[in-house]
Amino acid sequence: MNKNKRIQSNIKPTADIHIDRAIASICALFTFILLWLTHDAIGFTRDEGYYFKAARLYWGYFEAIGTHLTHFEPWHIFTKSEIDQHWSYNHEHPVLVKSLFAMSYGILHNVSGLLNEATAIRLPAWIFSACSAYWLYHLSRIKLSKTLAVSAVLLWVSMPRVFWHMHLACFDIPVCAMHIFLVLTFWRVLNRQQPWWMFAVAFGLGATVKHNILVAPFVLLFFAVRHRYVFFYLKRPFESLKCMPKMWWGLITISPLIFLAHWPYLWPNPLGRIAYYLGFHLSHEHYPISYFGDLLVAPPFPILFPFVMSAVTIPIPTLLMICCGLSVALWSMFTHRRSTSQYGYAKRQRAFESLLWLNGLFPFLLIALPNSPIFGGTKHWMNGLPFWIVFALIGLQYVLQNRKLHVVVTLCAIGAQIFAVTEVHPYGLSYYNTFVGFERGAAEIGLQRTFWGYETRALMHHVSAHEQKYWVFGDTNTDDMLAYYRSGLIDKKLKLKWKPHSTHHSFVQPQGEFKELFLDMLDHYPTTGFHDWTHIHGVPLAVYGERPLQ
Amino acid sequence: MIVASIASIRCRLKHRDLAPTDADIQTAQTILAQSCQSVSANETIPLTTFPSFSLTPLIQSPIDVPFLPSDGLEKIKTLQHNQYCVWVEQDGQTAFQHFYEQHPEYEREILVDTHTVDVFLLRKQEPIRSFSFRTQFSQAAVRRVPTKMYHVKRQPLVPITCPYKKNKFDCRGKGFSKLPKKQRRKENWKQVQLGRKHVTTNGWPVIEMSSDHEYDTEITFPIPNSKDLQELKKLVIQYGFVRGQYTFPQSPTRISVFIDDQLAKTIEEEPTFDFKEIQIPWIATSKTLRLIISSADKKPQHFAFDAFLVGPSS
Repeated sequence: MNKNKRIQSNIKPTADIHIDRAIASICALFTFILLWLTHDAIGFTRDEGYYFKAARLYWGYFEAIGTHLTHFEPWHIFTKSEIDQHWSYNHEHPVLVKSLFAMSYGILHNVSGLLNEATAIRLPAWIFSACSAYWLYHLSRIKLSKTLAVSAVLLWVSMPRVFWHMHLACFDIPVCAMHIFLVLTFWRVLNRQQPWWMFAVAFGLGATVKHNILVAPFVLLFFAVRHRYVFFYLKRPFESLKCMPKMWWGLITISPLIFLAHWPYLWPNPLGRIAYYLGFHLSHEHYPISYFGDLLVAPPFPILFPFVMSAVTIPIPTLLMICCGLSVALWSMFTHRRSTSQYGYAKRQRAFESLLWLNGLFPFLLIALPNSPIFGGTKHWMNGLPFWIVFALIGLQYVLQNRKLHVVVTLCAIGAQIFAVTEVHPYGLSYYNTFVGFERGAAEIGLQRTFWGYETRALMHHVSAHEQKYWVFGDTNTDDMLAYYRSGLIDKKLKLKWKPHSTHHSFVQPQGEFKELFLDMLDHYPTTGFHDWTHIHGVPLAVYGERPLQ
Repeated sequence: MIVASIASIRCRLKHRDLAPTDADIQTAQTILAQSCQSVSANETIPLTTFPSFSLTPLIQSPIDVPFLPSDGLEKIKTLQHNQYCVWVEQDGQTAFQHFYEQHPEYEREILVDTHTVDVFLLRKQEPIRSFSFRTQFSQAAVRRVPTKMYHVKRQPLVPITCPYKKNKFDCRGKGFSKLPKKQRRKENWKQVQLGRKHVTTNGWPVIEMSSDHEYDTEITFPIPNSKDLQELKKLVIQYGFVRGQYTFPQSPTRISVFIDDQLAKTIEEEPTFDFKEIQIPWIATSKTLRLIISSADKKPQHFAFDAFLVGPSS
């Protein structure tokens, strides 16, 4: 097939494009509305506390812009003092998402009063979730029917832990969305459906969300060389560079500019501050995690950690589909390797499959490295999951030729996931599958039950019932407590203590790194003082205890 | 995959029913309050739960009971109490049955039999008398004894006597309070503490004491002169290393047990997350028990133990 034919074969009829856009938009809208309707029961997580504070501080900069412009002093916006005043906080993460949190907070809460603070700040994260659904549909459509593409979106959105993360004002789902967008753009650019610079823009935007994506270009370059989209000669590296397609040059020129431009904190000292940013994540602290009864606190961590955790937190039907997709891909790789021409349709389809599994695999491999920081959560390789879902459905399409059967199988898998979500919401982070006996089985074998201290939300009414200011809140931090206070869930600003024996009211997560606090509570509080708890099917997530004043 | 989906939903429905219902909890708690009240300060009836993560009976518990997680009980051979109240949820039945079979010296009586919760009373067939060294903690003497004469900076090393305050012996030394806050936090391991620690997945009441390459840590318990103690035949030491958020040192820890200044037993253990037990014959006339912890590692090992004497009840 010559080059022109190759390009033509990728172009869909305009009507089809419009239908796809419409369906993808409906998926996105559905996701957004679903998140809005279900977010209220989820408490504020530890990191959200920081981002709520960041949003308020960063909004100050946008207000300052307005002030300086009205005073005809625009240069003040760029002064180090002005920048550091507003952007110094939480400068270990890029600020695209946090800036959106800030603007949403400022416009929808602070200025107009349309939404409460938490809803306003979480809203941009839901938009990213909706975008993930939109882009995943389009990515799926490269090789799947419309029905299966919608199934891919539903499988993604209804995965219990993913669904839970989608609610939060954090970066984990936004980076998943940007990873899908990057791969989709990459494929489209390779196939001349989009201009070359779009790839650089996609990567630049991805990098402004979270550092997880910084490794992606290396994976994509490996893919491009492997599938001969880029030719690289080890003996003639300079010639190879000269022949390098523009999209790669864009990556090292346009993307860094986008990154630099989006983050005012970098402007006074770009190199020094970028070095700090990268250094911070290269030597990130380890967050302890319960793993089969032991608490992992320092490397070397088990290499199988992300794979085992995925095997027990992805619903079984979906996991089976992923395994099926993998088997089909392996079979196809060995049986059809030499049967098609270099630029044939089948060749390109197999290339797409390898693009999927490469992007699905690398987030897992990064965490699997024995010295990678263990942050604990499955969220750290969650950006690999959308690619595995598409991969799973491609496998299904190979195995079952009957389209009606596709629908039945995917509906069953989606149904099982939705049922699981309804069972665990709003504690979706505690979800485990049948392999370990769900949440109770996981607790019994000593797997982490929860993270981030959001479980205390349902117990907040106890705070207003007492006058004391000194409380222990385990994993729920001061910024979360301030957010609860501002949102009216508690009636006073609390002073947080660390050890239960130092106060008379404690909320503690009786597991993982907070187990010691709970043990302290057992030592110093009478068992008649354990008044309330949050639990999931009898597995305690947070316990509220009172000890009598002496 | 269709079968997997249906099975998945079915299993989840079953899983939902494993948690005790509110009505059953209330019934079981009422009986607990009646049957598991401690007889006296010396004769308490601890409550334990199967599965070990369950805290259900503690929430809005009508009585104050000493609570012992069952994963700790499963790890040890010698049980200290004559009676245990056992709260068994549906998915804890197998583990409880196994535990019961491991302790044929106990007979069980069912107190509550509801659909989702059973409550048993385990009673020792031949009652025992025990003497816990944890209850004598405040009477003990704790010292840090130098392992060598001089510090690397050629300062002579002297033994440090640790004063007692609120369930702790403070071995951090005189200059401690002048140290900066961060440094002070690093020195906290030098306290010998009584309390529940993370030596098993769900914690266990122990005494935590650590040593380093410069100092051994030594604790000496005086034995009261009491007729009650004369029939106690066995010293039981249950020990492990506190996991918390610590990383364990590479070198082994040596635990030396002295009874009346005579070395009774020495063991070397690699610090790992495990809880073990040793038994040593006890002579009724013994006056002191001393434990010395030593290690060649700079890092503290967060050793923790529980020790008690046990024998037949007269």
